[in-house]
Amino acid sequence: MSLTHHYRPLECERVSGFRRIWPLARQEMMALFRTKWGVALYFVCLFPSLGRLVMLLIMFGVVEFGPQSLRDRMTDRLPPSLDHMNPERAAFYFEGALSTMPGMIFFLLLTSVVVSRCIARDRATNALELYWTRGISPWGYVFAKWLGGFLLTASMTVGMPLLLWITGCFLAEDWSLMTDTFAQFAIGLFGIALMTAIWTAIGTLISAVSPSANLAIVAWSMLLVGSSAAGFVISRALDEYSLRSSLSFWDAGRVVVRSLADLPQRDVSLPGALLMLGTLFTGLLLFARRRMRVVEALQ
Amino acid sequence: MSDARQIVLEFDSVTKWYGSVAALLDVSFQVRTEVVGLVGKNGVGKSTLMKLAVGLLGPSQGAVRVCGSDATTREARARIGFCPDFDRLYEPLSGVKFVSWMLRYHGVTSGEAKRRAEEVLTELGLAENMHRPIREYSKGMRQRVRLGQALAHRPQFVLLDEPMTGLDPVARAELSDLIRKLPQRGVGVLISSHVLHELEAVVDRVVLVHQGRLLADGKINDLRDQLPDRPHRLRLKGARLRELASQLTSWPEVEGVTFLSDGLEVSLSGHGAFYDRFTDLAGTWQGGIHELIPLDDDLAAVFGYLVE
Repeated sequence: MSLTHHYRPLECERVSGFRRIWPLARQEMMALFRTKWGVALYFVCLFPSLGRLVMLLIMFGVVEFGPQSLRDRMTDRLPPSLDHMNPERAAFYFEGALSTMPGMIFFLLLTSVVVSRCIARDRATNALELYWTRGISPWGYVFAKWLGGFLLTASMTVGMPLLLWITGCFLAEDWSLMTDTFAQFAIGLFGIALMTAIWTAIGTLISAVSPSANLAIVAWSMLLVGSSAAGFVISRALDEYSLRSSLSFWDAGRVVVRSLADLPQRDVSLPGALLMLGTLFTGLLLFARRRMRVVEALQ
Repeated sequence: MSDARQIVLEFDSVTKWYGSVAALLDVSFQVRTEVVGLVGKNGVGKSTLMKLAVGLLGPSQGAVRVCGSDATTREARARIGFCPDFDRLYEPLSGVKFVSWMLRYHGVTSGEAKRRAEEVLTELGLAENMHRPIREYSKGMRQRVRLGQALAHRPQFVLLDEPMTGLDPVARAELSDLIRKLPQRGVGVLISSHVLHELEAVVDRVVLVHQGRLLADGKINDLRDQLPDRPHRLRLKGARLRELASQLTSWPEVEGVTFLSDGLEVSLSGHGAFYDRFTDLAGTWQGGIHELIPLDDDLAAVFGYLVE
């Protein structure tokens, strides 16, 4: 070991905060793809969208599968309540990302590996010091971690529906599919992007308050699946179905997106859903504020 | 005589409170372009001092400056290199990717970061392995990557937290050699370690913290000399020990002589004059003096005496 290069005083150049945190966000976004298991997991999470792509190809006749009469019935005679099965409706393209099965399951699979561990892992390995001594503030760091997790998750929840819709527009006989569905699809997609941002922010905050990566995964899974199960059971037990969207963190998001996209829904409470998401986010934010103080985070 | 070397780290009457608990009380010292050891038991304020030095915490009173700037500012952080005490690097990344990735947080462009990362890892002897994933690295190679990320942005002040942990003797010697060379390149180093004999081999002076206060600051020999109530102890081996003991006890700076199974242990009140006399005696002593070993002049002894 020898130092042959002389140290030169660093040219201290002021750069924007975003230019410093973007590499961290990018690293967080790409971390999954650095191992073959991560790549495999990501492609598994794309299965629901790939399934819809196959449906699209069949229904638009690109792939000959099943009798023509069945395909015609699928597109022409589906009631509005089954719009999410009809490729001529905007809901077909984004409803999959909002469904409990398979949407929530694959969302949980991806975010439990990427989002929920992101800060807890660094806290457990004392890596926080590395970032915080480099001009990245604790909250800049949290923001970068959230941004990376959000962009990766959004590639599944927003990117895939968008690709599916663009594919649908090109496969359709004319441009009427695009003109008919554009407004509702755009609003729906915006809603999904918004909810993905909120859901991943909650996941990131859970990671910020957790002492270890494993605990963060458990807490995140419990919150997502547990609140959904609790909402389902309690709303049935009390025969008050609107309670579900006020108790289940996932259902609350779905209600918000469907309301934004003006999709029909019964027995839901939009104020309850907003209150649920707002309370959870604020509570976690206050707790994370305490846990991310230098004195507490760098034990 | 004033010291012309640049001050890279300055603690100016620093006090740090956590609620009603004082972690540091009125601590003042400076680090110039030299290697300074930070010594203290666990829980005496050493970690707080390190966090203040790298700008992670601000002082409750006083000021911490790095190259003249407040340590918490971005100007200061650009001049700080920090090598923390942790081993869990990002395993799938290569050494060069990890270091260049760390550089990018300073706002360095992607191409420049890669060039600088390759440069510093080559200097640290990782040229052949820098493109392999970190998970395949030995402890020594990991330590070089940790050090590389601390040095890559060419800081003027480097804080090394337990840099020798887990290294084999050869890697320790190489790392010690590298650390000793840093001041020649204009870098001031503050190094914290519990392995006192290794620290002693690297540092120019030490800063000793105990119960939140600065207990001592200076060269190890100077600190030892400032403990007059602690006699220096020597072990002597040679011929005709009884006669030698008799002669030594007549010297005013010798406080006592104890017979050991294979030599003598001599207690001294002032060792400067003793060595002058002893040099003359050793040259004429029939049968010869075979060994003269100071027993408590090292950092561990000084540290022990000071914190007792």
